[in-house]
Amino acid sequence: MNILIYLIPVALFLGGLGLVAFLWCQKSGQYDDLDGAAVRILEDDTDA
Amino acid sequence: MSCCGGQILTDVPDGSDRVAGDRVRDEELKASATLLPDGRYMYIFTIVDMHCGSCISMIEKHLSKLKGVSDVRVNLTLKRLTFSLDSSVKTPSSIVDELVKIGYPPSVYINDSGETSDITKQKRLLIDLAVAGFAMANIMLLSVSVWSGAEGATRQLFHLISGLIAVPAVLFSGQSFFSSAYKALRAGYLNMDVPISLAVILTLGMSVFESLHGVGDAYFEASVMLLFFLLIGRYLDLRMKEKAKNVISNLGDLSPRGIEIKGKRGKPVYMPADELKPGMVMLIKPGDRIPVDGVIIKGHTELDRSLVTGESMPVAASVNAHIDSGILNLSAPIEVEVLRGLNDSFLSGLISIIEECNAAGSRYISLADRMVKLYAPSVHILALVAFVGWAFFTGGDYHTSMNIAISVLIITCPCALGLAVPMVQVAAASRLFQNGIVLKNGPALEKLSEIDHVVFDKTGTLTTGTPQANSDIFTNRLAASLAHSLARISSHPASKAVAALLKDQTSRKIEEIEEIPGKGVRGLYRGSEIRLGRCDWVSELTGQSLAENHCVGDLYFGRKGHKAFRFEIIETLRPGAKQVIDGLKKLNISVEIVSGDTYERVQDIAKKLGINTFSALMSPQDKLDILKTHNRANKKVLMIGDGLNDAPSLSMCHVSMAPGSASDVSRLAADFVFLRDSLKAVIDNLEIARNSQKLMKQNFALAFVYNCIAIPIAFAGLVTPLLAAIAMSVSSILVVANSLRLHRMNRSGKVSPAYFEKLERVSS
Repeated sequence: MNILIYLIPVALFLGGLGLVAFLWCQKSGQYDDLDGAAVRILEDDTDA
Repeated sequence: MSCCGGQILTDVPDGSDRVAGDRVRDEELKASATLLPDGRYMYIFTIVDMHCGSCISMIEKHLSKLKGVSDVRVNLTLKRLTFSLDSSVKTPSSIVDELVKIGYPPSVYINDSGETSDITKQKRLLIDLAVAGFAMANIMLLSVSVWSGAEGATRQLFHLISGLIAVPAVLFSGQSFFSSAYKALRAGYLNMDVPISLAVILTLGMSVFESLHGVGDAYFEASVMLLFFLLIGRYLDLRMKEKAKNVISNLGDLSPRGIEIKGKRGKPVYMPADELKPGMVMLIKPGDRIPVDGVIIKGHTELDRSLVTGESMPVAASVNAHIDSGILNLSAPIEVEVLRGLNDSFLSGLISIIEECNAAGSRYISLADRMVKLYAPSVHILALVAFVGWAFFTGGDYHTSMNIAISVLIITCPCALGLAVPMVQVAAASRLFQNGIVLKNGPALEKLSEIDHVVFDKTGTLTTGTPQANSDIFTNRLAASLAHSLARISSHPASKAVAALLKDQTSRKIEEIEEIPGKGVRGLYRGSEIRLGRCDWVSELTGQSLAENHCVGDLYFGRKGHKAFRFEIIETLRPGAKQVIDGLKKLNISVEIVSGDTYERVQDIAKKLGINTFSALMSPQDKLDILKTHNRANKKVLMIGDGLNDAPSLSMCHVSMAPGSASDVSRLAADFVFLRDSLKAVIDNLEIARNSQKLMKQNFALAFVYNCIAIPIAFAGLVTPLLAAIAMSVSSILVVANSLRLHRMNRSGKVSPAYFEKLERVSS
């Protein structure tokens, strides 16, 4: 059961990565226009 | 026009009621823009007619191609367009024209509703939610093993780790609740956040205590879960309010906030409206709106007073005529001396009446608030009783008593009550939004479900404000195309109607074409004079005597030596008007028209719609008085209006609605704004309001039944805080699911939407 000493911090770290990613997306304004983002994908000409 | 395959229009449409007649000023657009460090200006416009991807790409592509324009970006959620402009290359008003040409008329975005602070609140709540969610998920992981039988050191370890996660998470994410509860307690009353904060803090405290002492159970997951679900409810609620406020502040007029005055040596100088002083002479061109009260000192023109008095037909005015702020100059340039500054003008007077009315109206206490007043104290008392009772019963076992008291506190679920009303409101608001109706504040929905009487304004509300023309002139092609050539140059609503009727005619070359205010338009065709205008003026030319009683409002076209043709000018009813009146009558709601227009016109519309009660020539004060009489008779009134003259009444009555084409002030004063043209919105709104009310009561009933079952069980000591948290979550889910039923409810119901749709298609 001592493996848990490693595994729990690992799990928490990975979860924390997810949280940080979410917060970063928020700050960089990616959640400001969800409707627009949804329909922009369907546009043909902006394919790069 | 607009969206999804949007047309490119070759003529600038005069349709959009918001922009009709008002000239756009570069100085004002610049004043609302932000100066960027490289000298360019960043502009924010709102475009209400965007719905999909092709709208975005069309606008962005089209604007990016223009010289001097860069960084074009559309935000579909907020319906905003942002771009930077090098003003030496292009003027902002040319961008406005471009947008109108491709079918997306813009409005100016006015940021005076404190929107930035609300967006920050929203962002902060989202972060709280994310942190709480992260904590909850991880603690749940650990608690699964604890509850399935971990013992000894493992258990200790897990408790400690859970605590380490939970405590910072709760302290961070719970701040919105804690600070609100603290403020309420300091002010000496209890609100919903007090039991919630207590429950969370107590559970957390207990769990920490137990972990440190190595005995008993810890409930970190309970307190974090509680926080998480409540944050969801709060976030959704805030988003709904945001959206509504957004749409309203987006519809800012392009109307002038300043005007040219006669400066030194007669040169025109631009002056912002709030710096206008009595004695200055304003130069008002056709298409300008008067910003302050004044008197004409030079010139002769026609004025459109519809926004101010509701009169639908323009009125001739010349020297010594007094003009109120908000009136639109139609035909000729005039010089107007300022009589009163901005703060003393008619418009500001209206605004202070509105503020008075708003203050009086806020005494309405919604169902939810009444519940809270009962609920919060009773919950605390119950918990206290549980604690004391059990302590007594077990002879001093504070530990168990504390547990039971906390269970009671949690299980009475501030959740269900906290969610019952917001969830229904959110569901209702989104449903309303799909129908093009904006809900500005929660209690309005409840108030709407209680109404028994509707008061309609006429011009711009029941009618579209754009008249239509009918004529038999098509029998003579030459006459028709000549009339069209004359009608095109005038901005008088009747001429515009004629021009619209004859829009497929070819133009002919007309010499010496000129508009004579108060009479009409005249010109020379192949040497002989033609006239389009008032019947007496036209009959001078053709030598006929035209029937006197047809003279009012109708236009005639005549050529020297030929028979005159008549254009009957009628007001167009808004689509859905008749159906709405019928629908209201079916629901046993009485209807009335109160208008500032003349008796004959109001009677005409009333007869067409089947309304028996109507009043004409009402000033804003008169309208208010009528509402006061209704209030005294204890009738609950819904007022629907659009003009400046309706704004005070919109705040005074029980609940109010305004069309999207209404003036700024009316839109701000109304509780609902409907964005589509059809009046069908009124019935939709009413149905949704009544269904919402039903659902809210159901939700409260659900919460109540749940509490009645749960509290005795908790009291009896059979529930651990964990079970309490689970039970509470289940009840919250039940409440949410019930609220979502709103989306299904409108399919059935007495007045079927399909019926309206068919009628609209047939009658349009």
